[in-house]
Amino acid sequence: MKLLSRVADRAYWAGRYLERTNNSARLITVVNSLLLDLQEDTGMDWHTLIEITGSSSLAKDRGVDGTAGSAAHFLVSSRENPGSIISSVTFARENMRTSRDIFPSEAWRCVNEMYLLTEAELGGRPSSRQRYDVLIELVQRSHQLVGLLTGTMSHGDPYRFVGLGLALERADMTSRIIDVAAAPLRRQGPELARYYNTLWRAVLRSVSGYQMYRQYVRRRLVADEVIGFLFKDERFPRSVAFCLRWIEHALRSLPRHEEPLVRLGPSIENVRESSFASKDAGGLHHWIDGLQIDLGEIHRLIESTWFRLERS
Amino acid sequence: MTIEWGSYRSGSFHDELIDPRGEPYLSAKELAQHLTSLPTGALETLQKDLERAIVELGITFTVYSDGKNIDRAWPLDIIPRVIDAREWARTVEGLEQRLTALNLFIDDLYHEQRIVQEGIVPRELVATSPDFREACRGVDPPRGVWAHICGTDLIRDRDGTMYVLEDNLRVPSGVSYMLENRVVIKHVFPDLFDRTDIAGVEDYPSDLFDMLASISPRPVDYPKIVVLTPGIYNSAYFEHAFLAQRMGVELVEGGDLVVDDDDCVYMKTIEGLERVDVIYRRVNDTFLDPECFRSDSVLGVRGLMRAWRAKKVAIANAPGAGVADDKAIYSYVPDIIRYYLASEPILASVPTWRCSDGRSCTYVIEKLEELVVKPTNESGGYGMIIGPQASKKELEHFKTQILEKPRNYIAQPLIALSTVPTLVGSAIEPRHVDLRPFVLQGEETRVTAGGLTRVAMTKGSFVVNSSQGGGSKDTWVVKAAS
Repeated sequence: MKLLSRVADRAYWAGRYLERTNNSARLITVVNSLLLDLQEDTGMDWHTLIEITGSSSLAKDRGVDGTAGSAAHFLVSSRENPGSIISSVTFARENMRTSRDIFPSEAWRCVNEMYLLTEAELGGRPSSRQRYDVLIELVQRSHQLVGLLTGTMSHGDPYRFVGLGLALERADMTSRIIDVAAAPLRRQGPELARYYNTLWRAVLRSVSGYQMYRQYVRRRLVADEVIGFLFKDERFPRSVAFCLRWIEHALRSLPRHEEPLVRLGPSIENVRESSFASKDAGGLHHWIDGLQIDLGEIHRLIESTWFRLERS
Repeated sequence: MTIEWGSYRSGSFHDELIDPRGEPYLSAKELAQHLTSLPTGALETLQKDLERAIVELGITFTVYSDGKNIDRAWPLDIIPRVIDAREWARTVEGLEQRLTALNLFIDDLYHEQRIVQEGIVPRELVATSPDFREACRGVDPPRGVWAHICGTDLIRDRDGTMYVLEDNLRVPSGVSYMLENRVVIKHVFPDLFDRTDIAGVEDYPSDLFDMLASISPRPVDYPKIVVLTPGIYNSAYFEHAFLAQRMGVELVEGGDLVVDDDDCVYMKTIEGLERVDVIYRRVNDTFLDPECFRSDSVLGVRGLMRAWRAKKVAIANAPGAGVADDKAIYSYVPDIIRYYLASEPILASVPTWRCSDGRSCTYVIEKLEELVVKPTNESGGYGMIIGPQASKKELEHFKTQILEKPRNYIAQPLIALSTVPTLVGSAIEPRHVDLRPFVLQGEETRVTAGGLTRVAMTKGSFVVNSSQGGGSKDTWVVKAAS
């Protein structure tokens, strides 16, 4: 039986929101503990997080100030923020609910439990301790759900669309984190140098990359090496290069894949060929901008090829 | 406590299994004996197993309450309802006759309206029917069939007479529960199925598929069939998904289909647009096509009526079929059968007073506390009043409503629904039931063996709707050993 465009669309967004939940939850917990460690102004604060999620202007409209409580509420519990944890979990569940037939029933139960937990624990005004615990729990549960899909769902077309969503979202988030983190970090002021290690460790930890970096790169934490690792390492599953390969693999197995696949090729090439040692802060930002545009276009081509079909 | 049928009494009601002396009818003998042979408490244990199986199989129905949709486990009573095969054969003839006549009637209404011209059915009644669709005039659906799937409600009175209570011709539901009930009950009583000649019901999905294929407008070997659902928030979504899955066809929503400039209907898939030949729609007429009916509908497909009128797609049931499902029309069905088929109706209809008729209306107002009054175009037991069980205040309220819009109401005597032994806690008590067999009409006509038996779980209640606390039973058409 052929996969309906609507169902494919929902599978894709289920993947995206699931990954967004996981990435944002981990990012918030890491930055949260980093801010506790840092005594001085390093340019890293709650506002940085809002910037990473690309919601600065929305936050401003909603009157979010610089205080931890206000920003954390916006990022975690605000239903007005479509990128908040609570919104991501709600949308992940809604997309799975409306395409339930393609998912194993345990997966539906799992996302539903995540939703109930989020509503109960994060829906009001949780204490920061409570918030922290639930975010850690959500990271675990979203890993569990993705594992459940990998292990129990047939790796056919619906699964491929979930995978496209996961991979695209992850590549997007990894590059955003580097973009925002790198700007102040590359400012080589003496006041920052003392925290150099702490900061890069935090960046790596925010994508669960610290240990793998240690094992595979075996160097001290140097900005260019960390950036290179997170963009180019084809073995680390949260690197941009890995995600792009994953997208390529999923696209190849889908019917009528020419347009998105053709668009993806140069992006993979670009990531592989780029060197980050030579780039200054401005150059890096510019390069990441280009990557973000690529990801946006691949997303649009996935939509137009498979989801937004109107005429023959 | 083991079961002693001798002490089971259903009062003045007709019981489907046990006769007034406490003896099981011949067709129910095996079942009754088997139940008696069970040790104390075994039936309750089996009922609990059965309920767990239903949860595990995910057999649910959706109720709308407190602004939320809640999935509930489907309620099934362990004791089946039994019908003698000889009686059933006659009922099947009656059901086939009735649907055949109704289809001729609908076809006539959208063409010359001979039956109106000859004064058998009043013009006024057709003209004021909210289910008559101007857009259907002059359309010739394949084989002249408009209502392909009918879920007729049957009830049995004190004296044992079977009556047709309603012809559900719009989007009747319940057949998936009939099928699931059988699956579950077979697990509970496997040896009884070995020993007893119980007619199978399992062919329904393939019969439905064949019927749908038989009305395809395109002569291809594998016509493309889809089930059109309003979506997951619909109370019968479980059934839509179930039937699509069992037939091996796509379950689509309005947004999945598009009508192109060639007036053909296409389904949007990741492989591109694919032409659709037959739509089994579970969306009401008025939501089918925003171009033709309700312009605010997001459940339908723009241009669908155009495609249907151009014979590029078949729709089951055809748009406009609901006109014969109006409860005011119901009272004319015996005349409709005589008119088109020149034969006497095999199945009885419940005597009906039409409030649109002045004298009947006066009678209904006078005798309201003895009658059942129903709105003419509602289903699911909504908006009706059971006179003998209603409060003074409710009766007064209804009188005002009837006088305001008499066309919208009909009244019938209260039929004392028959009973079936039902497990209530740890005791077996009589509970009232109805029966909904499903009739398919395409190239040929098929009737399910039995159907869905719905049971009012509350003592003394006649309300069998699952949305209002009703349960269900497996239904066995049994060829009794003579």
